[in-house]
Amino acid sequence: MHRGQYNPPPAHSPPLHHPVPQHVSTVPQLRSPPPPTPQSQQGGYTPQQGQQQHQGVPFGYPNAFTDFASDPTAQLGIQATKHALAAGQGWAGAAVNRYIDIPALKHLFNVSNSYVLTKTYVILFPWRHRPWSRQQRMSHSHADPSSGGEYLPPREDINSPDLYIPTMTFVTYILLNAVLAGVKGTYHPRLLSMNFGTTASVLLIEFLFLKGACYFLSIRGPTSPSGANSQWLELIAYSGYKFIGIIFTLLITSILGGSTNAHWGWLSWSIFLYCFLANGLFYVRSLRWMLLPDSAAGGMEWGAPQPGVGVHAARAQKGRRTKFLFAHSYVAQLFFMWILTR
Amino acid sequence: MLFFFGLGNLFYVFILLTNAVAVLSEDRFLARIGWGSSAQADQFGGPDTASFKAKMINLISSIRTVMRIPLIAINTLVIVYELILG
Repeated sequence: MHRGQYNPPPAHSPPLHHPVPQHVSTVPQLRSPPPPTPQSQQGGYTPQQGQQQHQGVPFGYPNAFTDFASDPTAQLGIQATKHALAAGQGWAGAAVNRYIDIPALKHLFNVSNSYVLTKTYVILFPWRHRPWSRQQRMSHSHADPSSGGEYLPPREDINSPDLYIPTMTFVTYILLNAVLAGVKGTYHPRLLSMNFGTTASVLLIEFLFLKGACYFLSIRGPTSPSGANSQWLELIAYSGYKFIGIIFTLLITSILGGSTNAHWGWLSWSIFLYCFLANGLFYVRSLRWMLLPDSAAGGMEWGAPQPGVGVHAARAQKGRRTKFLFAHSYVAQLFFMWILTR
Repeated sequence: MLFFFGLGNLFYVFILLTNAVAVLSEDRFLARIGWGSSAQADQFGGPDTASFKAKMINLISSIRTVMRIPLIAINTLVIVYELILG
């Protein structure tokens, strides 16, 4: 009775011993992936054929469970999995730490409410803002002199770049475009992805433009104490600040100019022009410390080892950098902002 | 104008530009116009690493060195993708 319920084939045909263990072995395989029982059955197959087969079936289930944990093969597999996981995590962590400076990222997201409000105000009305230089942390303890030149986080310094405002305005810009399209009645879910693609590629182009200029003009950003150069994060941050002016333009235009028709009249143009000029001034003033470092401190850091590069080269370099600063802040920003407000 | 700025199109643009740099022949083209990777040492006053031209030469040779093998794989993938789904 007992055997017949579980495996009919051996009950019906006792003389056929050879296929029996294979049938038996399929039953525990359904429950546990590495079944140790068929191994032991086949090992003791020839001496005691009848007993081993019949008793191996009902007792095979608990054996399969207990043996799975204590099986050396399974142990090896678990060990290998653990090793692989740990190695993968270590590798990912190393890669992340190598390309993305996590402390610098946290530093850039260290914002407060008053900082965000003041920064927005500064970007929209930069005409009266007076000190534009970033503040450095005073080294109270002289035990570690290398930490003396560390910049204050955005929470404590209004002129410090942050990544919170760019991230939020980036998302807001995409959503605002969708909302404006919805007001006009032309909304489609695909609009979100299209807007994201357009905006992200514009940002990417601007970032590559800036990075290439930094390469050609041999501008190197401040190096953090951990040795990683987080200049590109700040470049991204400064690329994202123009969304505030763009959002302001879009909002005012759609509110005042009537949302039914995208009428790009003189009002919209003047608002756009104002935002563009304010943004340009903000860029010139705040990118100055990054693109035009003082020639005494880090200006000719790249060319310093060559004695042939003298004062003339330094002056020419500085002139080129100033030209690039204005070109980026006004000409390139005009192009990008015009694209994004379309 | 806006359709020019998709992420996919941008990807194609970058691949084509990188290909354009990678196919420049060192012997037949770059060395003739003085942009070969060995041209920097010939200049008067030693290698002037701060000049625009030196940076450009350095960039071209770097792209040609680093991107040659990855470009083969990327180009193959793009060609297969375009053949099947394009």
